[in-house]
Order: sequence, then structure tokens, then C-alpha cells
Amino acid sequence: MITETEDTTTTPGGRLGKRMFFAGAAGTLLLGWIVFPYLIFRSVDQPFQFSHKTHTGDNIGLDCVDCHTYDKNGRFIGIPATKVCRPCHSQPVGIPDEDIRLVTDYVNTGKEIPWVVYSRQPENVYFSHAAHVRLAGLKCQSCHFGHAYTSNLRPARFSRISGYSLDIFGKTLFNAPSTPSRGMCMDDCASCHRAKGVKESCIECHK
Amino acid sequence: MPNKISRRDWLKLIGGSAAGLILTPIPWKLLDESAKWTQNWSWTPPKGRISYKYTACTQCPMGCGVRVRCVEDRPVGLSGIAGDPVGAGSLCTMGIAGHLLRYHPSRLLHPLRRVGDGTDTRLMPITAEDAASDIARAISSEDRGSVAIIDMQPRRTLSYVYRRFLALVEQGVYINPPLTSGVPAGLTDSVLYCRGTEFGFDVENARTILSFGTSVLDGWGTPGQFKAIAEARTRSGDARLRIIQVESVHSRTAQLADEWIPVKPGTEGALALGLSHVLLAEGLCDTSKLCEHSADFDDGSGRSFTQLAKRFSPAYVTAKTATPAEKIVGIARQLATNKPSMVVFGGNPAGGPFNLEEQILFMDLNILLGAVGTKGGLVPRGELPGPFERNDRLVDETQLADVPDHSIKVLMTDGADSGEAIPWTLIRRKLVTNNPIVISFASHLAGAARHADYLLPSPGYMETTGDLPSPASASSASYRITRQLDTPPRQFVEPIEFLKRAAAMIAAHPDPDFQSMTMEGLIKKRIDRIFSRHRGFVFDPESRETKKLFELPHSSLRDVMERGGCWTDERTRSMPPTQFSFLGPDSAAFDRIASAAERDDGTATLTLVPIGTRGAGTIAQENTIMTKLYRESDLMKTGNTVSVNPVTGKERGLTDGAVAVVTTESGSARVTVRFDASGMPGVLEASVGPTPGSFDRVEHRNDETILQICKIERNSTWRLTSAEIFPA
Repeated sequence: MITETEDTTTTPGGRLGKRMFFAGAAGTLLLGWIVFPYLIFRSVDQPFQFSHKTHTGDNIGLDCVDCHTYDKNGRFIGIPATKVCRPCHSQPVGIPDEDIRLVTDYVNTGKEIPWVVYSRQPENVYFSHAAHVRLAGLKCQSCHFGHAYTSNLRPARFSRISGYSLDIFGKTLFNAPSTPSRGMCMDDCASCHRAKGVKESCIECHK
Repeated sequence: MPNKISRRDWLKLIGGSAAGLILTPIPWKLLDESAKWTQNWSWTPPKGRISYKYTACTQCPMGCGVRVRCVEDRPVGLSGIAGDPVGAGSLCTMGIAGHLLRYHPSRLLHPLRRVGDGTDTRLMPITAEDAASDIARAISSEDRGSVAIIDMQPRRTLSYVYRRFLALVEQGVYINPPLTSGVPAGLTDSVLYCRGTEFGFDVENARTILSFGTSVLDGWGTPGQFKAIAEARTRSGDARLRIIQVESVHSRTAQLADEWIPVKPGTEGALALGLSHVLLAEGLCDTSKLCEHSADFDDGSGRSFTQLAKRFSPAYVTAKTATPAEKIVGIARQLATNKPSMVVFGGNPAGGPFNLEEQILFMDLNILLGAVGTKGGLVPRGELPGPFERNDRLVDETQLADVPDHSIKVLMTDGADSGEAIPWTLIRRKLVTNNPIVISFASHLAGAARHADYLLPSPGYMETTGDLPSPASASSASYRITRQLDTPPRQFVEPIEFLKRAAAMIAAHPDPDFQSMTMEGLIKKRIDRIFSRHRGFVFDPESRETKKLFELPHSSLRDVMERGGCWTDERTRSMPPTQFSFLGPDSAAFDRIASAAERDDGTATLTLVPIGTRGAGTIAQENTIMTKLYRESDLMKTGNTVSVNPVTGKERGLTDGAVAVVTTESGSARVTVRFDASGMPGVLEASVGPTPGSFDRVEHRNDETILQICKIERNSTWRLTSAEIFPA
């Protein structure tokens, strides 16, 4: 007796199964690549918009070190204090709403602006601006790229699980979202050190 | 039927989702982020305010300045302080990870008492009150024996507290350990007649250094001195510092020195006399002046120094040391002509110092070279005032070698690290045979603490206020305070408080002065005394400025010192001693010195030489940086590793990397053999250092280290031991 075997791939039931499989795969791919990055990272806006381009452009022509300076002991101060803005912004001069807020909420009150730092490194990382800029002669753009010419400040993104900024963790398998290197990841530091022939050991950065 | 979604279809949906999931970042990112999340748990260093504080490292007596990076007041990273007069901006591999030792598994968290007998003992918790009661009872007992404290870092304020306490008990003995850095007090007393004067080494101004076994280029002296040596070696022409290393082991210093003189072990004294012979024979020293200032230089009696040196001609010394005669003559001439030159003679931190007779011969060389009390030589240091008045009762300092055997009934070992290894067998020999009691104030179950009956954990590094006096090798006095930057375990025992408690239990009428003492008060007194001298310089770690002391108001001095500053004295004027002895005050010294120089083992056995670097045998080496050197890279040899020349090894049936047994008259130990072609045939270079497991677990092995089988001579040295080695 001959038994006919049903070809399940071509039957309506079999085709449905195949569709379900691919639907599951497609759905997960969509979720993983499009939705997941927004779920795992939370965005934090800056307290107000600031245009680097306006300050460094031809009209004003500030340089990075005019605001991001070193103290008398040679330590890098980083984000400038409100008093640095005061000489020019004692009255609103820029974008109306933002500048009014700058003057009334911060300059006049002396309160420090709670800027969100994109690339604050974990506590186990030691980084010295003085060593890189003053000793090694690196330009700001080497790590901060074109940040000095941006018209606004993008939101900072922090992982909801680890709490660290998206800017400081390097290439992982299927880095999500896929972002161009921002120059603040360990991989970036290590590859630059290697390229410049800098001897390195764990303790140089992880004290 | 075809459009109905079956169970199989749902399974296919799940399967598809799983396949798709793997191709998305979800699982990898979740794993990644979860791993990072674990770094932020409550017991990891907290996020928060970053601040910098300053203190000094106490892991060895050098006292390098330390800049401490704190997160929410918790130390998380250490570095040196640029411009620091002691550390010169450096920290060694012990100093840079010292703040992590509090997490070492062997950290003691509460007082313990050893119970049981023989090898079957265990540690049981005890309160500090009960421990004080037991110890007070032992001290007050009628049993024969003294009460002693062995202080691993003498001249601290706590050291004076120890001496004060011992003055309150009967037969109190305060013991200084044998150290390889600095000039021993016994030597300056007996040879230079400079009782109480400390000498340091003015390496900054020397042009030739002849080192007998001292690790001049590998951990000896302060980092500031090392920096000066390194810079002096880069000077051009005749101004360049030359280092000649005399050592039977091809140590790191020997490798880096300008010249290595590999002498047979134990013949350094003969070489020193050979050099003296050449200096005298060739008229390279001012003999008339020496005769004028020394009674035993050449008194015509036939038992003077010149008579002794005459016997040790270069040819005679060659037969003893295996150093060619022309080399001996060359070195002597170099020392005489490329001045200022000096002789340093500490030994290595694991092998301990040379015996007194050999030290006398090395010091004699310094005298012949005019290197005592002069620039570029051994220079006297100004006295560092202590916290007590001169007429306060303090027990005198005694060297361990001078303590009679089997005389101590109660021994307390201080918790500080001397940076050097001392065999427990040497200390044990000083204990009475009948139920001695050993108390340890160590913060970790390591070193001598493993042999203690009572473990009273004192605060560890950065966990208490203390101070650091002048490093032994330094050419000028210095002083700095160490600050409490971290919290000690809840049941720690502050030594001064414990001694006060014990003293109150011993005496019917406790000394009120002693009972009212505090470390802070005593340190303040010391600073006041320094201030009253109006001399010296003060380094401020925050501003990195050095100011003259007399420019500072009193309150500023105290403030700077409490913030981690450092006072250094002015250099003492060159002041050669007016009288000295070449043979020591003892009339029998001539024979002893001659005998020490004539030393000839003449046997076919091997010579076991313990070697180590600063921190050998102490917990300070068992940190997360040192594990890279000792365990993960094999750059430094772990404890109980014996390096042997391949010829010697093969003669005894050994192979490279094999386990062997080294046997001496004091016992045997299992070791790992490493072949080293640079090793001298007949010499077993035995490493004293951390064992592979000691970085991450508590090591309980007490009696199997190489130091335990070293022969302790009658003069309490253990540098050389006759040994044999067999495959295990």
C-alpha cells in the first residue's frame, strides 16, 4: 500500500507556519533594532539650549579655552561656572526665551547651571585633560569632534540599567543604537594610544 | 482548517522570534548593561563628590607623600605628590595600591586568641578587654622573663609610647628590628664615637658608590634618593655617578649597576679589607691624619687595622672572593680618585644585614676614603625631636641581636611594616621556652602575626592618625603626619589605648600621665618642638610650595602638617668625626674581625641566600598590582622559588621548574627550582615574597617558608646558610 506524504511546506497550513516564523523574526528584529534602543536609553535634555556655533563663530570668535579653562594648579575645570557667562550675559542677548531664562534663573541668582555631562566616566576611570592637552598637545577636536560648532545641544542618553551615558561605552556586538564613535569610549582611547605609540597599562587610566 | 493557527504555528512564531532576537542587540546589550550595573552596587565606590586629600604612605618606613583621590570621602585612588621631598612624586607598587589592602582576605576584623596546641591550633574571637586582662596577668606574673615590644618602624610617636609603657613594667625591653637601610646605631657608637647621632647617605652628591649587597637601584632609600641617583647617572663626563655592586647574586641592582663584582658568598669582608690594603699600600689615603684620629689604626702593636689590612693583599683576596686582583686594585683606585665616593652596605630586605664585623670593615673603608661627615658620603642628620621631654622615663632602644636568647616572656609585635623580612625563628629564639606569650598588633594575618597568641588588629593604612620620622637612609631629618582617611573595622584596637588599659590593670596606681596620653596630643607636641627650632623647610602638598619654617606662623605649620605636609631639616654642615675606631671598642675585636674576613666554609655544600625586594615578607606586597608582577607575569619570583645555576642544578638531578626540597640544619622546605645561568654555581638564591595563593586567600602555612630554614647565627644574622637540594 502506498501512503502519500503531505508536503507541509506547500499546504495552506505549512505556509501559515512559515509566515508565523518569519513574522516572529521580523517582529523581534523590528523591536530589537528600532524600539529597544529607545526603551533602554532615556533621554535627558539640557537645562536649556546653547549654541556653541554662535560663541565660536566669526561674530564672537571664542576659543574652547576661553570658557573651558584650567585652574591655577593646572587642573581642568571642564564645564564653566555661571560666572563665566555673566560678563556677556548680564542682560539677555541671545535666543530670547533661552537667554531670559539664563539671566533670570542663573546669572542673576548665582545658581550653577545643571548641565548634563555627556561623557562622565565611571569612578574607576581617571582621565586628565592636562596630560592630553597640555602635555600631549592634542586639540580639543580630537575627542570632541565638531562639538564646538554645533548650533544646539543634543539630549544626553543614559542607560536605564547601568546608568552610564551612551557616549562612554564602546563597540559591543551589535552596538545599539549604532552610533558613530564619539571619542569618549575606552576603545577610542586605546586605539589613539596605540596609534601614537603611547605605552599604556591598566593603571594609567584605572587607578 | 488551513487558516486556523495551530499550536505548531505558535511554536514557529516563538522560534522565529528567538532567531530574530539573537540577531538583535537585545540579549547582548542586556548582558552588557547588567554587567555594568553590578559595578554600581552599594559596596562599590559610590558615585559622588570627588575630592583630593594628602597623607603619607606607611607601608614601609620611607613615608612617601600620597595624593588620595576620594569619592564621597572614600579613598579610591592613590598617586605621588609632585615635588614631595621624600617621594619625589613617585609611589612604588606597594604604595599605589595600598588602599586596597583593607579588602585582603587576611584582614583581621576583630581580636582573636589562638587556642590549641602544637600544629592543631585555631583562632577564636576574644574581646579587647579580656585580651588586656590576660596580657596584664602574664606581664605581672612571677614567671622569669622580660616584657618586650618589637617595633617595626622606630622613632614614630607610637614608638615613644611603647618605650614609655615599657618603663612602667618590670624588665621592659624595647627592640629595634635588624634593618638593611641606614647606618646601624651600634656602628656609629662603636666606630665613630657618635653616640645618638644618626647618619644618612648623601647620594645626591656622590660620584662613586660601592655597594655591598644593598639594592641601591631596586628599592633602597627613598624615591627622592633614587631620583637623585638616576639623575646623577645621566650627568656627563667625570661628574657622572658610578655604581659598583658587590654581590654574589645577579640582582636587579647588579644588572643595572655600572659594574657587578660577583664575590663568593660571605667574602665581602675580605674584599673590603683587600680594598683597604690597596688604599693604604698605594698611599691613597691620609694615614697621618688617620693615626691622629684613631687609636687602633696603626698603633704598632701588631693588632692594629693596618696590620690586619696588610694580610689581605689582592692576591690573597682573589683566592677567597674569586675577584681578580687587578679588579680589586682598579676599584680601590677608582674610589680614591673619583670622589666623593662612599660605601653602602645594607644587604637585601630578605637576607638581613651583614654581621657587625663585616659592617665595621665597610665603615673602615668609608673612613679611609674620607667619606664620613663629608659631602657625598655618610652625613650626620639633625636630631628629630620626640614627643617627650629628655627627663621622661623611656626604656632605651635595644637591637634584636643584643637581646639575650630565651629571655622574653611577653612579646608584643608592632603592626607596622618595616619593609623587610625577619625570620620568625630569630624572634622565637629570644622567647622563653616555657609558655611565652606573643601579641600582635598587625592589621592582617600575615608575617609574624601568624605566630601570635593574641591578634589585636590595629588600624591599617590610612585608618588612623600617625606619623613618620626620617627615613633611615635620608641625609636630612624629616617628619610628616599620616591622616585617617578611611574607617577601620569596628573592633579595631588602637595600640596606645590597649597599652593604657593594660597598664591600668598591671599597676595598683596607674601612671596618670600615661593614662592621659593621646596620639593627637603627642604629635602636636612634636610639631611644637619642631617649630621651636626655627629651622628647616615645610612642603605644602596642596600648593606644592616649599617654604622656610621660620616664615610660617605656628598655626600654619600645624595646619600644613595636618594636611599631609612634610618638614625637612636643613643639611647639617660637613662635620667629620674627631675620633674613630677601626676595630671597635672591644679588645677582642681584632680576632673577631679577622675571623669574619677569613671566613671559609670549605665544604661541598651549597649556600642558601635569601633574596627579596622592599616589602619582602610583609602584607604590603600582596596587592592587586603586585599580583601582576608575581603571579601573572613571573617578572618577580614568588616565595619559595629557588634560582640555581643550571650546572649546579643538573649535578643534583634537578630540572627547570621542578619541585625540590632544600635542607639545612634548621629544617627543610619544598621549593620550586628555576634555572638561571647568571646565578653563581653553588649558590641557591631563594626568593622571599608572596606565595601564589596569598593574594586572594588567607595563608596559614607557618613553617615552610625559606626563612624558617635559614640558619640564625649567634650574632642574629641569617644571610648565608649551608644547604643541600634534592628533587622532591
